[in-house]
Amino acid sequence: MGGSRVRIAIVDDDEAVRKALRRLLRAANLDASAFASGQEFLDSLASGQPDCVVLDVHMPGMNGLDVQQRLTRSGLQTPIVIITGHDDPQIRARCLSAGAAAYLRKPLDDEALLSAIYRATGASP
Amino acid sequence: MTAVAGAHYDNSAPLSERALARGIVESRAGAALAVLATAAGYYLGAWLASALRYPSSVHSVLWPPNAIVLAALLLLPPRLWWVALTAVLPAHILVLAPTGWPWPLIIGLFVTNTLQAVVGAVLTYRLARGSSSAASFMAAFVAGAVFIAPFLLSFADVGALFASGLADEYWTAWRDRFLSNAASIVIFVPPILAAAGAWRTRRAPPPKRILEAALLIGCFALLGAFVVFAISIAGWRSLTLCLFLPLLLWAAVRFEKGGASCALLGLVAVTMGSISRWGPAGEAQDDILMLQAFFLLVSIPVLYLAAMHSDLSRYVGALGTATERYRLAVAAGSVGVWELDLARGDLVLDANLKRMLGFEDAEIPNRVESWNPRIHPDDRQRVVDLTTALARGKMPAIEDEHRMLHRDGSIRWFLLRATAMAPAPGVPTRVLGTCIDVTERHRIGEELRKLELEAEQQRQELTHLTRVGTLGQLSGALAHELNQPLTAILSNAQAIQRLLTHTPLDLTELKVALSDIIEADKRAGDVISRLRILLKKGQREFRELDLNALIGETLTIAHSDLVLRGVTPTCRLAPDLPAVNGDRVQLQQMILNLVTNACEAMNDVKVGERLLTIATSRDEDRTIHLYVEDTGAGIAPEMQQRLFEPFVSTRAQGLGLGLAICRSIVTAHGGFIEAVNNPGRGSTFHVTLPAYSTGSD
Repeated sequence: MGGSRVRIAIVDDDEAVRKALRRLLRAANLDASAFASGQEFLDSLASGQPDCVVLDVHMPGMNGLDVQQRLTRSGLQTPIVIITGHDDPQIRARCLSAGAAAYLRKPLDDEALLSAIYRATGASP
Repeated sequence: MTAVAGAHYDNSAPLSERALARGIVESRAGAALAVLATAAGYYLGAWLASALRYPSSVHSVLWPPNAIVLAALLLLPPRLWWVALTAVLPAHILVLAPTGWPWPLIIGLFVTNTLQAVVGAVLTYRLARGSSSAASFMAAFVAGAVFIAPFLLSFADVGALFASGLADEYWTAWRDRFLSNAASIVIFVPPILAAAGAWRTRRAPPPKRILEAALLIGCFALLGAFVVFAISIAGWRSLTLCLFLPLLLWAAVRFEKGGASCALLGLVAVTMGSISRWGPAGEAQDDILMLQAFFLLVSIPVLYLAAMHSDLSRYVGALGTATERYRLAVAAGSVGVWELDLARGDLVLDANLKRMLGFEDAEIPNRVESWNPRIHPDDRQRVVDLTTALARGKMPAIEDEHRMLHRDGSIRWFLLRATAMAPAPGVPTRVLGTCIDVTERHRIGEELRKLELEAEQQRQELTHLTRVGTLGQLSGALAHELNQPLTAILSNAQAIQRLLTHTPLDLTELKVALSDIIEADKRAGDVISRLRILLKKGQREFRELDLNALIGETLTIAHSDLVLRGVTPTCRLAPDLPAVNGDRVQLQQMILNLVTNACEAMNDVKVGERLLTIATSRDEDRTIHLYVEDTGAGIAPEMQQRLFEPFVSTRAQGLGLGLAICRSIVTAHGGFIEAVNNPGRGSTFHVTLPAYSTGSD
């Protein structure tokens, strides 16, 4: 919201993906922090909310859809960019109708990801 | 007497009359009858003797009573001898009482006569002991009963008579008595024994035989009538009696002992008939002696001939039967026999052996060089080596299956078995062997092996297909599995591109990014190679495997699928699990199938409650247990029995082969699989496998 950098929360159960995305976003001058599970992310909301959430759908325990629901129910309007390695049209439809700002398939192209984030947050690169 | 008796109960003389008689006088009734018959016979014999008296003479040509007693002793078991002899005493007294001789003499004569019979019987058995041929019995009988016993006892008999003043000259009397008894015994004992034997084995003779007997009797009667009525000149009598010889020989050869002894009786009858009609040839006494000598000399060879012939027939018959049996057995069993005489180097090859290879007996000479080429070249050396080793005494027996070349070029399989015969330990003198044609059995064995191979191949095909099918189901998840490392690689690479535009360059970050790329790449490669192994249609390879590790790998492969389905896996793996002897691919397949099955069972369960538990444990006896638990709806009762059958599925789109494949794999690994419903909810699939064993424990 301010002049500070845009803060992105990455939620993905795969460590390599988390590290890579965080590196990428930081290299693009974004402030990125990574969470291994939906629960971990939700717990972190208490100490501050991100400007955007990059959310993986298929995770053990609480999956992306559950996180999306929780966020909505908690009243937070944080935009969500869904990322997934498993493309299922039904999941896509549900995510988008639940209010996701974007639905991206892995492997992620950096331009596509960044433009989705900028669009969702209204920020500019 | 008993000691003697014991020696005579001789079981090694099956042809002896004793063995025949045992059947008659085993029963008390039979024994009583025999005893009575003896006493009666004695008396009748005496009467017969008087009928055989020479005209104008007090001497009888033959004295049957002693012969009858001897026959009785030969027919009765020794323990009954005293009974027979006691029964004879009254008859003896009856016979001699009218003579008015002093009682001590009568008793004394009884003793000598019975002793003669006893000695004759004893000697006969003693001399015939150990031999079962009729000829040796006859020889013993002639030597012991016909000659030795009367010879010895005549001394006593005549001594008694002489002492009583009833004999004029000792030696003349002795000679007369000896010849008379000897001739009587040889004439009267054989027919009685033959009659007893015929009674024992009474069987209706075939019509041809009756015809022949009638013919013989007819000829005999004719010739007898001719001699009795036509030959008036006494001097010619002896000559004409010789005309009977062919008839005697005929009787001996064709009707054996029975025929011979009856013919001899007939001869006696004809002779006595002629004498009574035409009178003696000369001095009665000389005539009698000549007659007795004549009877003796004619009977002995004729009876011996009959005995020998019956032996010969018996042997030929037995040989014929044995040969026939052998031929049948050999033909039925496709067996050939061969024998190698090592000393002389002779090889005897059974004709059947050659026939088994399509050759006639004459087409292959009985030589090793002619037989060896029939052995298949690849097996020849081995067979030769084995046979040589056997011949040198290096082993007691050999057995070998090898190929032989049939005449028509086809291959026959022979099972050869041979033993070496060594009369003394050491180098053998003969090798005896059999060859059995086992081509059929071999062919069946080959077919079986082929079928097994085919079955194995088909099993692998099926496993492969279902594996591919299963993987097809997992393809979505696999794509996901690969996508993670690919994402990491791409994002890292693009991050590096951006980092390179920064100044100053953060070399550390760049290095870390690059190594992350490499790691992700390797991880992707891993998934692919694991996939490749799973997809490979290969031969089974059993080796020592760690089941826990396999489970971990399988779960990694299935990880995405589990995530997709919202299934939470838990592992409870025993740390001290022994290794299993198995095929990696197949066991992974089995675990995968079980996991997939469990996941599908929980399709209708709330996401948070889809719990998959995989546990391993071990038994005291090192059996390995694997449990795959789900929290699904459990197994319906009607499915319990059919769960592991192929093409049985609870889902609309399922081949229903997964569990069948599991069972097939488990069975191939020597284990068991079963499925039970949990007490709480869901079901557990339980697999037992034997631990890897080197065989030493």
